[in-house]
Amino acid sequence: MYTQGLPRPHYQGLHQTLSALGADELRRRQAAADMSFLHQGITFTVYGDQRGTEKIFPYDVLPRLIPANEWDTIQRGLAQRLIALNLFLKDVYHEGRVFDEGIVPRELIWSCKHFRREMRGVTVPRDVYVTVCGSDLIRMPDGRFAVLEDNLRVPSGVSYMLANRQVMKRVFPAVFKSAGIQPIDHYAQSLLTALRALARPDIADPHIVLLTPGVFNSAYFEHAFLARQMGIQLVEGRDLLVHEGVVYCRTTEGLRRVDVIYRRIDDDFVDPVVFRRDSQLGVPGLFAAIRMGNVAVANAVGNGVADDKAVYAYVPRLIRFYLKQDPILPNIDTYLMEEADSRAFVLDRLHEMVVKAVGESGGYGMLIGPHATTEQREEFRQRIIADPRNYIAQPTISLSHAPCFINGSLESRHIDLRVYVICSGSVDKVVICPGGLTRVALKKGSLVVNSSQGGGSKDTWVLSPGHDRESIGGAL
Amino acid sequence: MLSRVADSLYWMSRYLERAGHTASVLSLQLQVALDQSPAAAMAGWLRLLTSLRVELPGEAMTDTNAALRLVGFDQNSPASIVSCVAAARFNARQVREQISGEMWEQINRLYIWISNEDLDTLATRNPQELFDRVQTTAHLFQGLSDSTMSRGQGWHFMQLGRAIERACNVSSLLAAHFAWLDQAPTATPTAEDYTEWAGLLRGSAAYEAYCKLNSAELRPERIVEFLLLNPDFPHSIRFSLQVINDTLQALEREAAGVRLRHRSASGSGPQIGEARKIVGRSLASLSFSDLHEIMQKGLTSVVLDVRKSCEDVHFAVSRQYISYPIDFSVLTPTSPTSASVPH
Repeated sequence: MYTQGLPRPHYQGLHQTLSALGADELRRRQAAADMSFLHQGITFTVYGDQRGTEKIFPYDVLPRLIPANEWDTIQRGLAQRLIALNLFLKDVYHEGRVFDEGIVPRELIWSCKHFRREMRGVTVPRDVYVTVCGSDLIRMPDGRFAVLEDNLRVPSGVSYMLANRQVMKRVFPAVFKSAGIQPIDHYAQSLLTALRALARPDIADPHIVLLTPGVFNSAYFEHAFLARQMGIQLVEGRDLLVHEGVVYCRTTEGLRRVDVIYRRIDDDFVDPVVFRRDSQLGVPGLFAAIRMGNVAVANAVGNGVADDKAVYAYVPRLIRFYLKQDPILPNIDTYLMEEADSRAFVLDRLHEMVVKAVGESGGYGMLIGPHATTEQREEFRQRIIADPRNYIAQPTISLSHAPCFINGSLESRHIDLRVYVICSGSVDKVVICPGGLTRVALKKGSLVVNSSQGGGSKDTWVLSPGHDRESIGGAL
Repeated sequence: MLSRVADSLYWMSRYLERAGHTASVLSLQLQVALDQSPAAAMAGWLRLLTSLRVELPGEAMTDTNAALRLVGFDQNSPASIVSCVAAARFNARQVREQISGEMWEQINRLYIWISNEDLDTLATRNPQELFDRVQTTAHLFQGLSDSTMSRGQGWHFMQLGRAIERACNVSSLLAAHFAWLDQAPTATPTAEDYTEWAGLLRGSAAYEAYCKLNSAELRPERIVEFLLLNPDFPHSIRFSLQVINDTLQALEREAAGVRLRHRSASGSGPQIGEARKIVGRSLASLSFSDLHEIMQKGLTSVVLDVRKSCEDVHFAVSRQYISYPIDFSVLTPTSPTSASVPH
């Protein structure tokens, strides 16, 4: 937010208004926001707690601003990226050109934990494997945004983006009038349009449902929220059944056919006949219905091959290969431990690198070199040598900071940005909601923004063109 | 509507009605007991537990606080108000996308307030606060559902749950308070009886309505007539049976319409369902009886019949809408199962 002690231009208006408001008033509004979240039940469930406690996702009242020109780059970059990833997934599960032409080694994909050989040769409606993608961006020291990872399986958090904005409007109504903040309320509508496009063309009014693992899932609030916003049914596995390759749900009027499923359960649990046999969450026979083309499921099964941390390193090459374009958004430099040169390079510099296990997420299975002890580094060295395919390394990058209102005063915290990208009915049609979820590492100095590990969020305002230097607010 | 969702709406509404009812009779009992001898107060507590269909603790009860906890504040007792609120909220959470945000917020607020209270302290110091909050929430919730929810199936299932629960509760109250009428119809009431009856009427929110109709003269047979046969008062049994009947009729109409729209395979039976036949018979027998006939049949057996009908309706509804058997032979001919559909 600051350059040389002064607020950056697009923050100046907000800075003035907030300064005029004073800490007490800000504190009052923060409390109002917290109560609003709690009473609306905008919460996530804390696992491992006997009482199944629901907590609010900690929320910071100070918004994060992104000027229109920066957003333009993000938008073009993410669209380009998603188009390439969708083409890549189709290629992986069908022709395999990317292997034949030596762009990506076949073994890398086939050894990937999330590769689903059952998907080989399966036609996916409109070739759209990824309908919803959540991409995590960070701001590099040079000011450019770079992609940290893509989530192509079951990305979550979008409800917090929408709920943050609703609460923000309630708490700071006046600031929205003049700010030129791009609205995000149409997200659910865009998602519904994208899902509808996946139904078979001969069905005039497709029956679309959202499949949730149930109330005990940590993201249940989000599932209910999205279902309500889209006006579609929220179903659990036990509401569905498959008969002769057709999916039905059990309703009070008898069985009703289901045409499109927006599923929020992982690949492993989708169908106990094909994947994990002990799954109680999925629907026996669902995969057969997918194969027969009787139901469309978004996101497609098997997408995990394209957001694997080792495959991530190849995404710029995939963009050049499929689109014949240069990547608009850079990757973080990534060293594959499988490649001997890179391995030697990294093992010499473990104290300055971040090492990640490729199959893990949520901040687990990770070594942050500069913060680690000699023993920890030695342990990772052995692990890398034992199973190089399972590890990648990246230079330690400090996340950018933003001011947060913590315990009544302004403090600086690390942030990242998750942007939700929708592929709407054909691979080249990408829709991005102008906003995102800015996640905050609330612990001082921490680099971990995950909600399960003490992360919070703040509203993210994308400014309309021409509003970058105007003042925001006036009377809040 | 999903069967599971209908089931949750039904139970959400039943549990909230139960919590409100229990809060109201408990609140009255605490006040009535102030005017009573210890023996009469203890009898009152036992009657209250019976009327709530709570199993009495094995040994003789000497401590009225134990009863208060059992049906009010004990999270481990399924009959307690706090458990009913938790169950109602659990069901509401399952159907959040069905009920309006305002309705959810009411029930969630109450639940959060209860979670943050020290229930033991509350039970000793200020039990009335819980009762007030629960009753207010139950009323607000009902009002909000009336003004913010479409009159679709979901709304009907909620009405059904509430009416069935209410009919059961009021019949149990009548049975607990007036079983003696069957043996000694001419016994002379004592002052304590009057206190008890006034409490009974207040517990069903009926005192004022009763007085408007009958003046403040409390006579047992008039009270029975009012709570059992009055067609206009929303807490009378006949009124609840009428709601159940109308709701089932609306559900049948709706289901027939939806089946037509979606051409979905039917899982339900004939047009006048079993549930409506049961409630229809019960309603007719009350509508065309007068108090004299009821007393001849015996009050206890009449209210037990009502309760049995409500239970039968519950199971019949469940068989018709919730956990019906599936006839797969109906599905196959209409379902396209072609494997090669172009996209």
